[in-house]
Amino acid sequence: MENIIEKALKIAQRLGAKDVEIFLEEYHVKKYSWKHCFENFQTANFFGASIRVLVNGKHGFFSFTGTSPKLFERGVKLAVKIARVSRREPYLEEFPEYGKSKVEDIFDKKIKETGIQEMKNIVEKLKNESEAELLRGSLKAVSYATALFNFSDSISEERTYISLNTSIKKRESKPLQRYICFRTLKRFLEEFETLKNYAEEIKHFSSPSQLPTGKYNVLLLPNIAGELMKRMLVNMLCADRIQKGKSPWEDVGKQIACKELSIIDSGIIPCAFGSKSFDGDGLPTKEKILVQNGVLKNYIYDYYRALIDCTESTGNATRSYKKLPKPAPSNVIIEEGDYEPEGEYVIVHRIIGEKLSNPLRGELSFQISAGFLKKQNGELLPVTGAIVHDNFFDLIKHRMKICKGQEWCKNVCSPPILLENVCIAGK
Amino acid sequence: MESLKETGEFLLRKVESFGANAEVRINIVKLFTVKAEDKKLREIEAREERTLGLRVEKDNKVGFASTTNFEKNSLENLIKQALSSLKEIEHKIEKESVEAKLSSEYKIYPMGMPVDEKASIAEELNKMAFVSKRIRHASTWIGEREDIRYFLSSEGSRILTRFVSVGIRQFSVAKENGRIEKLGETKSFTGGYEFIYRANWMDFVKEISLLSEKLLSAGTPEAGVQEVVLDPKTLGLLLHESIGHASEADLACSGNSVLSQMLGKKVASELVTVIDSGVEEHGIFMPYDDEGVRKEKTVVVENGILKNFLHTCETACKCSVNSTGNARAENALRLPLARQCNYYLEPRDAKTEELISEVKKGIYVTGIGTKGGHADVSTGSFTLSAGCSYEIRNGEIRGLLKGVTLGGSILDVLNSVKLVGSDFALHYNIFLGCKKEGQRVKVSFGGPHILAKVIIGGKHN
Repeated sequence: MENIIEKALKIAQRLGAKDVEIFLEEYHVKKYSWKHCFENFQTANFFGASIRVLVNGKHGFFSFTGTSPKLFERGVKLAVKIARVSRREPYLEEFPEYGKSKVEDIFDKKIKETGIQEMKNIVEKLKNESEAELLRGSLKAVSYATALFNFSDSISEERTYISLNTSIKKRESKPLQRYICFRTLKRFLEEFETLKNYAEEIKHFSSPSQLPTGKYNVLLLPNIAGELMKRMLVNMLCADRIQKGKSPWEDVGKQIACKELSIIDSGIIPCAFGSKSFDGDGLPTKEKILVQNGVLKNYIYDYYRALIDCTESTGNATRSYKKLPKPAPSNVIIEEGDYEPEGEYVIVHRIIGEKLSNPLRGELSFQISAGFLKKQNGELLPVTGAIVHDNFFDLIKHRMKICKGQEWCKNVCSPPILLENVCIAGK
Repeated sequence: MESLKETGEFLLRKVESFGANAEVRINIVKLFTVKAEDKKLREIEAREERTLGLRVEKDNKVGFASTTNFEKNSLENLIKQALSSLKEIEHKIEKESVEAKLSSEYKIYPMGMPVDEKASIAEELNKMAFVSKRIRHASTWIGEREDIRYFLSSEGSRILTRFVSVGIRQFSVAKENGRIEKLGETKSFTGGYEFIYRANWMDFVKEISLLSEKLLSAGTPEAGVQEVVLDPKTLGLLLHESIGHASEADLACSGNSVLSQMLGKKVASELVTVIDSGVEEHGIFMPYDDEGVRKEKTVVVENGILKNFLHTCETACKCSVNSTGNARAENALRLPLARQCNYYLEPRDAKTEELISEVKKGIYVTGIGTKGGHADVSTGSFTLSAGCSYEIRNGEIRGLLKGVTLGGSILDVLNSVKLVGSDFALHYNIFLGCKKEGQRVKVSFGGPHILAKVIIGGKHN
């Protein structure tokens, strides 16, 4: 591959490129999937590349799949051709110098070498020990490598992850979805054990009813709380959104939430899904405070957006071979609080439609697909089908309580969060 | 191994030499996007994805492996991987062998047009989006897509299909007195570059900007169950997210869908007849599915009665029916799943004005700017974001509403359909697709205007 890259770089130079960057992405996937009585084994080998060039201050980009030298040669020529009809790029004069952070436990040889039959055995073990039905799901073991090359430098890294996505049901309960994902097999199996408790927790979720329209206190479990905080707040702190006026959070130093809320972003946490030693620009990943005691502290930058604001990248460029780098959170950690829920409240286990919220105008909207109304006397009534619709800006400032304990879900670590007096549309 | 035919035939011969049968899927997707932003050309992106999937069958066992690498040694390794991941199957799937070569119609091949012309059009359109100082940001995209699929099997099938489409997308952000509103809308077309020449795109981008401005002072709906008139795009989205996913046989036949035990039973008002088809004008072009089965029209619901699920060969075999040609994969790296194609409600005879005049207090929901929807087919609940919507009072359309979210139980909504219009429109989006189990495929959906009852998320007094 080195020879192919070297040749492609030489062609770019010959065609007049001032700078060039080749991004490579390779992954190998082993997947065991099942849907009740249907099951499948599959393996996939993927290789994608993108070529970015700067020609006379103009920028060109072409991406493709495959490894043949002809594809690389054609890719360089097309990227240069595109650059020639593009407009002059005012900020990006050259690509950055590469660098790495030290991050532990992001590669596990056991995941890379695991066989599909072993994967099936993991799932069978869970079924037997928890006495639960896993109606539909998949277990995926992925080894993944990225590399960046330019005229003078190169950088590469190999990572792994194993993930389980399954709908789980016990006795008469309706099936509920669960997702676990970690970079090492050991950490994954530790978390895997908690699924047995989860199956026990949801066994009473049968014959759910619809909540009457009204105002309720709502307890978001960690996976849901984390997802909503990331979607409504953290994603909106990406510098590209701020620069385009597509974020409501335009003032660093301002109190935007209650004092109990603190959030950090870190790309260097061992074993976490969003950890890596360099970002999509080839720059070292870092740890940074985003919100401290409710005060907005920092935005999330990649190299290009940092150039626009005359600041340094926070090492948050994300990319695939298909797209140019852009800023995105790596791992989001919401600090735990000490609140213990009391009285009557709705416990939310599963939501749908959270992507339909409008973070720009603070419109939090999702449907409770599965949950329980916990009555004063401790009784749990299964509920479904109610729409939560409320003002997120007001909720995080005045009506949010942060509870004890934290859980990881993909690249977010969050405690449970209670929202007070939330508008719910139901029957 | 540059030619598709050469690659496919090589693999078939090699697999057959191991005493096994094979199906080879080769997929080439070419994409080209020009994006202008804030009055300047921002990005030109070109992409070509080649993927290859190999399904082998030997001694009543099947295996699957896939790759992006078409080099000879990689293909030989692929065969080893497929043969080493064999699992037993209960029934052998018999398929007819087919030879076909089909393409969607177009007049001007979009990817042959000069890049600088496309860049200028995107830039000019983007400038037109700045209708006032309140528009703080605007992005305009021109997108082109070509999807070539080649299916070969040891049984003798050789099917080549080609789907060419183009589209324009506008996204505008308006801001005033600390309030921000955004609105994005897409127009897509199965065809060629003639689509870009045909319509008045300046009016389209201006309309989106003007609507984003109007949203700054729009009201919010009341929470609770309301009567709604849905336009074809919103109806299509609702059908797709609710009954559409619930009728996909991999979910329905494995007890994962609210429709699992409902075949032959009443699931909707008798005004509801739902169809899924492979080729429709303004819809997607999929005459054959990714298992080499012809996609015919499938009646999913007829006059309110659930008639059929959408099947792949595997689900059809389990349920002892024929495949409906709904096996679809994002690309050849992935195994096909049961997916919708062009999914729509058949029109009846009511005029749109009649539907509006029937509503004393409710909402006219349009799909302009919708952000899509989501369904939980196991619990039978769905939710979707409406686009720009309007209050209806005493049979008349009133003020603009923002933030309208629709939701509730799939079966409750379908049973509440009171009137079905006589108009018809299908919507396809070149820039987006429907995601299931990590695979995004192109779909279209639609129908006429309808009058029904749904839960609306909003303020509670």
